[in-house]
Amino acid sequence: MKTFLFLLKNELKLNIGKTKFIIAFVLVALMFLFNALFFSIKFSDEIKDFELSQEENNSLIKNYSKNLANLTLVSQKIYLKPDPIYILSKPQSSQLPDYASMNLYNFKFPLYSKQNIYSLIKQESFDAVFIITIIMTLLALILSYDAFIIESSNKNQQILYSFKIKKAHQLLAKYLSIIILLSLVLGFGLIIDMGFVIFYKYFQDIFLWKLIITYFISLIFLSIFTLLGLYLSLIIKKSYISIILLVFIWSVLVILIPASEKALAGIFYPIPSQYKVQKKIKQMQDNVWNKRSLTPDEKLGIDDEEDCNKEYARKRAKLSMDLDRIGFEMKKKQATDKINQILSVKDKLTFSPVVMFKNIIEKISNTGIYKFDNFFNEFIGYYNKYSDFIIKEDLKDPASKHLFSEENAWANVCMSKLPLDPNKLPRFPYQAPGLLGAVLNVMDKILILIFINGILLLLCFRKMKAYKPI
Amino acid sequence: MIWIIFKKEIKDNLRSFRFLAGLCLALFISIIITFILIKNYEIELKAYNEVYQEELLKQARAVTYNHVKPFVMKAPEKLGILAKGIDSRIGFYSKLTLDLIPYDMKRTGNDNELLELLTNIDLASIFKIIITLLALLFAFDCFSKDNRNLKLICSNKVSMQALVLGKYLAIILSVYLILFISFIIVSMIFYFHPKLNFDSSEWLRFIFSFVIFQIYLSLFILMAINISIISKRSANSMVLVLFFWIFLSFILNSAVNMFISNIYKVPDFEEVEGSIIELDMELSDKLEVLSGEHDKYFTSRYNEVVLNAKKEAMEKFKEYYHDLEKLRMKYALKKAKITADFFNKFLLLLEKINEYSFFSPSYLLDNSLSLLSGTNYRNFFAYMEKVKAYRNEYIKYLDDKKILKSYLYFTPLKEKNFPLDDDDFYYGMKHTEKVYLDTYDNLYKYYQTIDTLDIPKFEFIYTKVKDQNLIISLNAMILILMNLFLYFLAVLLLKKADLR
Repeated sequence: MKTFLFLLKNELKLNIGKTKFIIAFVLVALMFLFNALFFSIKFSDEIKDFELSQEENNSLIKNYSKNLANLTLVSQKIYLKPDPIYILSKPQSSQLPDYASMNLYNFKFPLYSKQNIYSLIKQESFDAVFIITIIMTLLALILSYDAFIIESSNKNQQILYSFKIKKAHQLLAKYLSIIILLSLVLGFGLIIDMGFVIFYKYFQDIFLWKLIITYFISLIFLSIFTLLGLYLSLIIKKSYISIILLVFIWSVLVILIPASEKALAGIFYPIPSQYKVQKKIKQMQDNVWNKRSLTPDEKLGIDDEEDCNKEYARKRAKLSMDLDRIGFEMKKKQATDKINQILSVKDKLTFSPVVMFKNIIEKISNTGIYKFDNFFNEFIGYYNKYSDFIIKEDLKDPASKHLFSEENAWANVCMSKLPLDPNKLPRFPYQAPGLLGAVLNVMDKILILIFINGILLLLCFRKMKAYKPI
Repeated sequence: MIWIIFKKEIKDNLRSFRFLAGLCLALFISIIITFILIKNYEIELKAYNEVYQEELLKQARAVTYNHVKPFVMKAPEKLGILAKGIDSRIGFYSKLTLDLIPYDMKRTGNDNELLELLTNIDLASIFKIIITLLALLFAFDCFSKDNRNLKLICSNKVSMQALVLGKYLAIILSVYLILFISFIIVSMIFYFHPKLNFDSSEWLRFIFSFVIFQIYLSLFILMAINISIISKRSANSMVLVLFFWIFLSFILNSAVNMFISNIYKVPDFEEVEGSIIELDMELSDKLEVLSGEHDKYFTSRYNEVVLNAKKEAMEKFKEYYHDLEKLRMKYALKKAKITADFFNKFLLLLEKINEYSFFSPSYLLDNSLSLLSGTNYRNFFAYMEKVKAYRNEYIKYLDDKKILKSYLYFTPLKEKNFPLDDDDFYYGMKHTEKVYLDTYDNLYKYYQTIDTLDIPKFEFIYTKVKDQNLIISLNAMILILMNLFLYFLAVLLLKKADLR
C-alpha cells in the first residue's frame, strides 16, 4: 500500500508540473467562465419572458372567469419553464418549441414562441456538458496517451521494476492520478458555474444535487477516455501513433456519432409528414360526419342561444365533440411520434458512450427532449383536467344546457353563464420529475458506463501483465 | 533547398502511419456520411413533392378564381448536402392570400421541429472536423524540439523561410491528397446517384467549395506550425493546437453571435404582430361595412351559398368581390410596410454578425459554402423577394384578365343561366370543385370551369444573391491574408526560436 501511495503521489506531482496540464487547466477554466457568461446573458431574458407569460395568463383568466362559458375560450400561453440547470445542459434548444397554446377547441402541438425568422440566427449550445464531452475528454486523452510510452523511453520503467513494484500498482497509480486531476479541473469548472447561479440568485437545493450527480457521472465518463489512453499507451510504442489513433477514435465517438443523430433520425424512425397527418385527420372527420345521416337542420351549427333549445343541438354537439376528439387523438399521436423519433435515434446510438452520457445528464437535469417530453405529458394532463373541470362546473348550473364542445368557438352559448372564482381553476403544474426517479431511470446506462470502465481496466491489467518496457 | 526539404518531408509524410490512417478514416466517414445525407435529402424531397403535387391538384380542382389558392414553396437544395445552412432551420412554404404578403414560412421537408435538438450535419462540417484534425496531426510536431533532426538541419545554412515553406508545402500536399481522394469519391457518389443529377452550375459551385476549403485547411496547418515552433515539447504543442482548433471551430462563432445579438438587440416581432392584428381588425370592420351594403342580396347565413340569384344580385356580388379584394390588397401593402421594417432590422443584425465575424475562419468558410450551396441567410431574403414578385405577378394576372370584375371570380354559374332556382344554385356554389361537377354531368349546362393551367406558378431555382461573388471573394481573401500573416509569423518565430 505504501508503495502504491508513493507512486500515486509521484504521478500527481509529475502531472501537475507538466506544462500541458497547466495549459489545459487554464483553458478549461476559461471555457467554464465563457459558459457561465453565456448562461447569465441568456437566462435572465428567458426568466423575464416566462414571468411575463404568467402575468398575462393570470389577467386572462381573471377577465374570462366572469362567465364560465367564456373560460372555455381562454387561450393560455404555457411556456417551458426555464431552469438554472441550463448552465449544465441545454442541448440546442434555441429553436425548440417552447410554448403551448391552451385552447380547448383547437389542440395544437407546442410551438416555437418566436417567429420562424429568428432561427436564421444560428445558436449552438454551449453548456457544461459541451465542455465535458468535447474539451475534457481531450484533456483525459492528452494526460494519458503517453503515460507508459514516456516511462519506457526515459528508461524509468526498468528502474521502477528493479524496486519490485507491482505492475498493477503502477497502472492504478497512473489511472487514479489522472482521474484526480480531472476531478479537480471539473470541480473547479462546476464551482465557477455554481458561483454564477448563486450570484444571480437562481440557486435551488435541487440544483446542487443535480450538480453533484453530474460531477460523479462525468468522472465515470471521463474515466473511459483515460483508460482508453492508457490502454493505447500500453500497446503502442510510439507516442505520436498513440495520439493519432486516440484523436481519430475521439473524433468518431465525440463528434461524428452524436452529430449524425439528426441525419439518422428520419431513417431509423420515419414519421408521417405534417401534411399527411392533417389529411388523415380530415379524412377521419369526414368519415364520421358522413356516417351520421344528419338532416339538413342537423347539419347546421350552433350559432346563438336560440339554437341551444333546438332539437338537433344535442346531436350536433355530440358530433362536434367526436370530431374534436379525433383531431385531439391524432395530433397527440403525431406529437408522440415526433418525441419518439428523437428518443429512438438517441436510444439506437447509445453504443457510443458520449451519446449515453449526454442522455444520462439530460434525463437527470430534465433538459432537452426529456424536458420536452415531460412538458408535453403535463400539457396533455392539464388539457384534460381543465376540460373536466369546466364540464363539472357547468353541470352545477341547472340553467345551462351543458352543450360543451363545438369546433366553432362561439358555441359556448349553450353553457353556464355563471361567474367562477379564478383561483378555483386548475393551473398548469410546472412540476419537474423527481430527481431520484430520474436517477433510477438512467441507472442501467450508468451501470453500462461503469461496465465499459471495468472492461477497459481489465484490458489494461492484462496488457500490463505482459508489458515489457523497451 | 526548398525542394530538398519538401521532397524529404513529403516522402516521410506519405510513408507515415498517420497518412494511411487518415486516408482510411476520411474515406470511410465521408462515404458513410454522404449516403446518409443523400437519404435525408430524398426524404425531404419526397415530403416536398407530396405537398407540391397536392397543392397543384387543389388548384386544378377550383372552379372559381376565389377558390384558387396560389402557393409558394422551394425544393430542398441539392447542395444542402454539402452545407445545410438555413435549409434545416427555416421553412419555405406558404399559401398566398390577397390580404397579406407572406413573411412567415412553414416547413415542408422534415416536419419534426424537435429535430432541432440534435446537431446538424453536412459534408462541410464533417470535412471541417476530420480533415482539419488530420491536418493538425500532420503539423503539430513538425518543428518539435524532441526531434533532433531540426537541430541538424539548422546547423546547416538553411534559410528559415525555405524551411517553413518546404515543411508547409509537404504537409499541405499530403493533406490535400487525402482531401482530394475523398472529394473524388464523394463526387462519384453524387454523379452516379439517380436522384441527384447535378447541373453544370452545381458542379462548379461544388468545386469552388473545395477550393475555399483548401484555403481554410491551409490556415489551420499554419496555425499548428506556429504553435509547434513556440512549444518546447510536442505534447504541449498538441494540447494548444487542439484547444485552438476547438475554440476556432466551435466556440468563436457562437460567442460572436451571442454578443452581437445582445449588443444590437434582436428586433421584437410581438410589436409587429400587434400592429398587424390592429390592421386586421380595421380591415374586418371595413369588410363588415362592405358586406352590410350587400346584405339584402344574401338570403341565408351561408351568404354566398344560397342567394337570390337574380341578375341584379349577381351584378352586386361582382361589385362586392371586386371592392373586397381591392381593399384586402390595400391592407396587404399596409401590413407589408410594417413587416418590411422588421425584416430590414433583422437583416441589419445578421449583417452585423457577419461583419464582426470576419476574424473567425470557421464563419468565413461556412458563409462562403452556404452561399455557394444556396443555403445562406441571404438566400432566404432573396427568396422572400421572389415571393413578393410572384404575388405581384399573380395580381397583375388577375388585373390583366379582369378576373376580379368577372363572375368567374366567385361563381361557376354561366351568365346566361341567371337566375337559377335556389336548389341548383346551392349545389353549384356549395361544391365548388370540379369533382362534384363531373359527378353530375347535367350540371355542366349551367356551369363553367376556369382554366387553372393558365395561372402563373411560382418557380424557384437557385439564384445568386446580390454581390455573392464579391462576398465569397472577400471571404477567401481574408482567409488568404490570414494564411500569409501566419506564414510570415512562422518564419519570424523560427528565426527567433531557441532550437537547443
